[in-house]
Amino acid sequence: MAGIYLHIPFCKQACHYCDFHFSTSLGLKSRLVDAIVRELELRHDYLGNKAPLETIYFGGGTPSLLSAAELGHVFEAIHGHFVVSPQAEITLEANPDDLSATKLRELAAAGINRLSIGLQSFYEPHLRMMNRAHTAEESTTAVRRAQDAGFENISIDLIYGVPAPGHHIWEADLANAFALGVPHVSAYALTIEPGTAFGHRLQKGTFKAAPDEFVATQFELLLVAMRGHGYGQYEISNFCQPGRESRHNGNYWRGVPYLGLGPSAHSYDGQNRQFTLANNPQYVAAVLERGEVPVTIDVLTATDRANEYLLTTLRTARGCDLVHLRTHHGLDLPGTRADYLAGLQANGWATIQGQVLTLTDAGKLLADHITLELFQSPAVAE
Amino acid sequence: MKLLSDSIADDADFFVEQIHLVAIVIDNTDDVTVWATTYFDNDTHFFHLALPFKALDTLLSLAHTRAEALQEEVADALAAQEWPALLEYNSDETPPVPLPSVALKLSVTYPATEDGELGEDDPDDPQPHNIFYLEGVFVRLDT
Repeated sequence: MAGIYLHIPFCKQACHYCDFHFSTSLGLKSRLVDAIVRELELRHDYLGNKAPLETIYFGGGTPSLLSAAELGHVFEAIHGHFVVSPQAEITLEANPDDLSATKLRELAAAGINRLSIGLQSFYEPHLRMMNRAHTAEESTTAVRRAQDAGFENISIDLIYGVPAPGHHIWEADLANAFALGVPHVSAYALTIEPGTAFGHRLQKGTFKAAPDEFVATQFELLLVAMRGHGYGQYEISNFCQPGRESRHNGNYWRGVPYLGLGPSAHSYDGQNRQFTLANNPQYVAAVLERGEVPVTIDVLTATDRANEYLLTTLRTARGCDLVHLRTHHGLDLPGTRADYLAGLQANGWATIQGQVLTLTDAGKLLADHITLELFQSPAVAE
Repeated sequence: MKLLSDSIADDADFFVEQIHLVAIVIDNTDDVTVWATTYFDNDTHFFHLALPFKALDTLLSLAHTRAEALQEEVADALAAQEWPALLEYNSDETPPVPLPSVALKLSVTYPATEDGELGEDDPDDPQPHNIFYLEGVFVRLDT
């Protein structure tokens, strides 16, 4: 069941909304790949058992910036230390402008069998607003080219809530997405984080975030459109045709252990989490020169685990199993928060069926707020 | 300069060429309005063009060397959300934007009556608006 996540922290240019760890200076790329390979050697026992890897995920940053040689180097190390299931889901996040026919052949030859294409929009001014490196035309041609190259398991990323006077641009984006016929779509609301270019522009007054009602309407349009085209919402931001869920992300939400490699990557061994240092030069130096992986261990308390279970399951279609929450995490929500749960149901924000708490469409709009309300503080639960 | 609505023969769809964009108006509706000129019969004709944002994107992409800057300006106007936003291209610093080798197919619109219905069947007011709707964008391919 276990999986590996590899963080490739490089991008051609900085998207104005992005607060992930990345660098636009590619000079260290080759050394960082060497460091990831070395980290893999140093931490290959992290997952304990030697069960075959079921998922491998290259995220970023922009993993499609890896050359064929760099990708081959990483896969050689993975196969040298792990058994990879023949049915493994091997995903690589790619930007549309990187997906030439040659590149796609290289990715397929390396063993990538699932692409997650960060196209975000089909509307040129929105792509320019977000400082994406690709054009609106490339949003379509990249997916078509990938399909022509034999990639059938494709996910695309879309962003909604991007400022506009109305909803036609978002509706057109959705129509364009459906026309591509991909089996999986991830759709995220634009959020403005401090420290991003949008965050700075917000302070300077040259950017205004779309009003909450505008974003909520686009979320509702998204849900209706996805259902109408046969895509199930298996997680708040993730939609797929039947049986086409992301196995890797599904394992995150089920608490399956995984090893995260590269700067800023997280790992989980079933008990605790580890966070790798989010600094490319320091990470490379530590791993390659001292043979040490700079990680911080986050020891999860019972409260942390209960809250994580709540956080992840409430975002999914299968919901939060209240019996599991009580028996495995010691948190008895029906016993301690009966009034709040009743309020959720009375307001039409959640249902409880067979002891499973599931958010309704209206409740999904309030998912973060509801989850925080149900979180246990350490003083109460410990 | 004449109004285009004063020069059309009837209410059938028609084509215009030799187009220059002189302004883009973004208000709080789903469509965008372009102010433009077209040249025929030895005269320049001014008109308003209503079109979806996606179609504006298509038009701007045909502006050759100015396409990228125009798309950035629309992006900035959307980001600032101060509507109505008027992006003018009618000065020495920002001259009108030519759309070479482009023909636009336009349809006629009529003023709405007080009850909100279009007045095209009103014999007392047959004059169309100088606001046209974009029906298609055609590009002449040089061989």
